[in-house]
Amino acid sequence: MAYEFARIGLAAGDRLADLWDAIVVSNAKWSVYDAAAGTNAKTYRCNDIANNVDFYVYVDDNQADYSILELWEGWDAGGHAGVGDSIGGTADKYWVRTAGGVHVCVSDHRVLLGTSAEAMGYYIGQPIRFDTTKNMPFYIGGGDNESNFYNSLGHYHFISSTPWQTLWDHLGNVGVSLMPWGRTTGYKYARTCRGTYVFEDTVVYEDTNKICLGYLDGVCHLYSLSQGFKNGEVITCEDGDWLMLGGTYSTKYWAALRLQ
Amino acid sequence: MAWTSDTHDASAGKFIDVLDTLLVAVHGPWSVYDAGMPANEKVYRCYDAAADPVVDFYLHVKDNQADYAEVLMYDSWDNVGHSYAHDTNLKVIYGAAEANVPYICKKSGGYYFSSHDHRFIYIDKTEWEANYVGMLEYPSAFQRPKIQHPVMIVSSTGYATGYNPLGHAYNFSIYVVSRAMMGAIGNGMAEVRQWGWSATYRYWVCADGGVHLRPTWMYCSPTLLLLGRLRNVAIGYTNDPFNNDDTVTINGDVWRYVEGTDAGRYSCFIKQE
Repeated sequence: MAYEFARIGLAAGDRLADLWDAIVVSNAKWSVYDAAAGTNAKTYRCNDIANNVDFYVYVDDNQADYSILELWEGWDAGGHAGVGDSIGGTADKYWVRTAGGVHVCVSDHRVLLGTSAEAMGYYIGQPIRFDTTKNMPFYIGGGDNESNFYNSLGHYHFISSTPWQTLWDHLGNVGVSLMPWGRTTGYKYARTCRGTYVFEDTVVYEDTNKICLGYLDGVCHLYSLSQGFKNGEVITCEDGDWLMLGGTYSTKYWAALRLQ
Repeated sequence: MAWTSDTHDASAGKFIDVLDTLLVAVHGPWSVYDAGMPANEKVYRCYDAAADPVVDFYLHVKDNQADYAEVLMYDSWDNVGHSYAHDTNLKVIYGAAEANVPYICKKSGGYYFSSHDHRFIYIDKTEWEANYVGMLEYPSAFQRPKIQHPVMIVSSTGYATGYNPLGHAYNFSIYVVSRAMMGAIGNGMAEVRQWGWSATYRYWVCADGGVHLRPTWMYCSPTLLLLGRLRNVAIGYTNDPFNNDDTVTINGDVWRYVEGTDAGRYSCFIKQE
């Protein structure tokens, strides 16, 4: 895994160059699969067949300030079009905004982003799966593109602003809604009486049959409880540094992101 | 550490027999501190000067009646005068209200007992109530408190209703006593609650057919600071597709499911250790 803070340009295409091409594809499991997927658009592949991981991320960055993402089962690099099952796009608020710079955490199977200006968290890729024979790429993120920046990683699946979905669940169902374990409880306290903090990777379940699919790799969902957190604050724990994000909406939805 | 499955009848003195046999006789830090009490009453001490933080608390057990034992926790005891030595308010003598004294159901349908140097769990298999008495655990020194915070999460005068204390884990009416002898800032009789309490969105069954379990963190309700984790207990609250006595094996460890007979189905898994 790798972490770095990246300054990202605001113009169309800048997120492709500054984030995906410069950082994400430096991991050997990630690659540019279609560099000409459209005007200021590329498709990236996360491929680790030995571990049952294979999915495509289409990034449309043909506008300032944000990208629009789609997750695909396959991609036709000649025809520049998706193949098979997919989720995402503008209707489902699959946006990624990067103003102010981004904390980027890339592992073999997922990209975790924490933004500065809107204090948003995004998760693209696999959880730490309970069933590693299943390919289950998640998209968690989005945020209302107008003004209401709910931090999705601190909230739960709410399609108008904070999508939590998986391309497939463990049964192969497409576009299944996801939820964090404990979901709306506000009693997820993290501070110990020693003044230290405890953050644990959050379990995610699919919201149809309530079956747990895995842990979010490096994300602790805290919902609306603050304990005095500030957006952008970094708390050092025994297992490393954790970034606190609550979004910029009037109600803060908190999550801690492990910066690794 | 030991896990015992056994039976006794519900008469006076049977809970004390369990503590004498399965706790005091086996674990060095536990002793009978005052044997000169009235019939079927004893005071036990759990003292471990080598522990960090030092463990030192007393349990006054009143077991002179059928079906339940009254258990009170103190930070000191006068074994000459046979009373609480010096009232610092560091004690657990009731739950939600003064009338809700701590009880442990000990009916005749059998029991499980999990013993440890610094805590015990007694599970009554008639009402399926699991009771936790003693220290929490700290996964590392990074989280370890400077002072001890022994807890009692047990039943109360409503012990016969099947409200599982370890499935609920906050003070509630006549059903659950959930307090630390000393809270995060040295406050006596501090209520303790489970991390994420009252959330029903808690699911355990995994995509591979297994179950994920984590010991539950407890926080001091007045200060909202974490005191430690329940040793070998994962609280489920409600919504669990299991039945009493179901077991799951995770990495070789056997966890047993306990769900009170109350309609609320307050549940937990307890690792057999």
